[in-house]
Amino acid sequence: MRLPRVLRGGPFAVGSVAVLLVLAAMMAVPSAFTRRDPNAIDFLARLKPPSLAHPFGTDENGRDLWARVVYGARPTLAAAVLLIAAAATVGGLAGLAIGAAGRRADEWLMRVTEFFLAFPQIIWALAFATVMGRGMVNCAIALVITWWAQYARLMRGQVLVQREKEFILTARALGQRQWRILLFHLLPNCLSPVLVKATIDVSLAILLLAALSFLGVGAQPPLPEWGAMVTIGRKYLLDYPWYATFPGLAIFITVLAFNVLGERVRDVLDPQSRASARP
Amino acid sequence: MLLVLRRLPLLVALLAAISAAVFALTQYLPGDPAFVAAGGGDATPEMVAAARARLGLDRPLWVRYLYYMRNVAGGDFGNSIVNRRPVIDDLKKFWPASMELALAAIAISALVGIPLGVVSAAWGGRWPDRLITPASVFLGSMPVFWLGLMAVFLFYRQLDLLPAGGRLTVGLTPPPVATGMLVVDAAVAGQWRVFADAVRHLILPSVILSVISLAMITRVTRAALLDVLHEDYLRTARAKGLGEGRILLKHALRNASVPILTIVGLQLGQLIGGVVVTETIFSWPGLGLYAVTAVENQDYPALLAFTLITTGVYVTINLTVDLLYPLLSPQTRH
Repeated sequence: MRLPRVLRGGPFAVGSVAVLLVLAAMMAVPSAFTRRDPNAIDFLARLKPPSLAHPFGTDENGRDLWARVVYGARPTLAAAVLLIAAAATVGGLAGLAIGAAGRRADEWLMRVTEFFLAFPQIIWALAFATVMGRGMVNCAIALVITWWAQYARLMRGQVLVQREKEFILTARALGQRQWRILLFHLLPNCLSPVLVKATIDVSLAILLLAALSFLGVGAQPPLPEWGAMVTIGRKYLLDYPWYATFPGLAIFITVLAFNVLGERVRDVLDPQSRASARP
Repeated sequence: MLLVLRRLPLLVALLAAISAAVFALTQYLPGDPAFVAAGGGDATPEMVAAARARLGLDRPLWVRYLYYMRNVAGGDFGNSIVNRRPVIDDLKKFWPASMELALAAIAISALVGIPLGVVSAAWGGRWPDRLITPASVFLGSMPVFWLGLMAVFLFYRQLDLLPAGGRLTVGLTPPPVATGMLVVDAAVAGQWRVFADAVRHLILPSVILSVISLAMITRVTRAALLDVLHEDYLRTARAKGLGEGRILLKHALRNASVPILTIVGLQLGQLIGGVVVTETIFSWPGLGLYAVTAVENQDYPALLAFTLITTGVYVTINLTVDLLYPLLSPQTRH
């Protein structure tokens, strides 16, 4: 029963879970949150301030910003979540293999991860997306190429600790095959730090992808991705400040929710870390 | 020493790999650099062919890469496709601005972050801690470019206190170049009016950039202090009758200094990515703005040079931090 314990972390934890549930609903059925079409152009209603008809105001084409923020949840979050899921899967499996391999292979593979960890992420993604073509997909691919290494090292460390435990020895003594031991005994026992890292990393991924949109290599118009909306809103900042404000606020609240939840998940899965924070 | 020998090949391999990857990828650009160099729209096929030969684009990929790397080793990064000037000249012109911004930002985040971390640890679990720790999560969740835009709106548009961008007010003569960092150069030349103006321009970008590392430095300082706070030697210091402030600042902070200095160093490396974003917000004419302009113009010699140099700086900073670590902390010296 893990979920209730996550929720028992006080108002912040409950709030962050609530925010994430609302976001999940926005991703699933955006039409339940607004009746407007996020791409409907209305030149008579250009750059209108927030009002009852347009809670977040309208953009330079008269499109409703609330509708665009609602529909923007899907591309913004899906990209970040998929990116981290891919990095965690690739890195986790690599780490499992590294941890299970012999010492020489271990040393070599660790050198390889060191290499990928040394990439400056945002610079690499900027260069990669410029030459491979702008867009969120290429930005996400560039980030996966470097990000998996963090998970590989985390997983390897876990495997090295867990594989000396008695239940693994028992499984081995019972004559189970190596791959069965790896997948069904080691893997499940190594997952919790990976989950904690993934939750917090989703927030980092949202920020990085949004920053890449801001630099012009991420999501391309007319996709209502939040970072790209702030980028266009920047042109109208001084006279129509709501344009850049609301999509940015959406990013902030989402990232905050993932961070708070990540800390809470860590407390629940790894009570040790909480103990050290209190003298 | 062993560490240097082990890590140096990594630096070389990384630079070679990144340059090869970006170099190879640039060859598949949708746009044709020869067409752009020949003048774009009105260029005849002959002019494009001439430009292709002039740029060496008709030779095999690996030959061009080796030529390129040989030139880079000699400090020649090729010429910009857009303005045809040597890229290295542009980089020399723009890097002091980035340096000024990054140094100001890391100074702010260390000068604010370390004391906040100390206060948070000293009052662990009580109200200052309960305020600072969530505040650092709060701050760390903000998209920096959005925070920057909000700051421009507030301090420039609404309050009219600070400039929205640039390094100096238009019309003001820059001080004679000594370091290229305007704040330093103006102070050296004794031009205090220019100095004040340069500082006014530096405030918003550097404060916004410092936000990235501020939260991290605060959290690491707090954790590092909490780790040493229940050590025996602190009990001894207390038993000797030393004051709490003295114990905290002289005994505890010194023993917690290794992780704190490490994180400050590592954050300096992390700032490189933030510099690109911050310079874009504030039209700060440094390497980041140069890179973003290169992206827009598909100026790949410029982009490649920027990528190589920033990667080199980033890896060198991280390597230096790794090497200083054993010097600072005798326990890990072996």
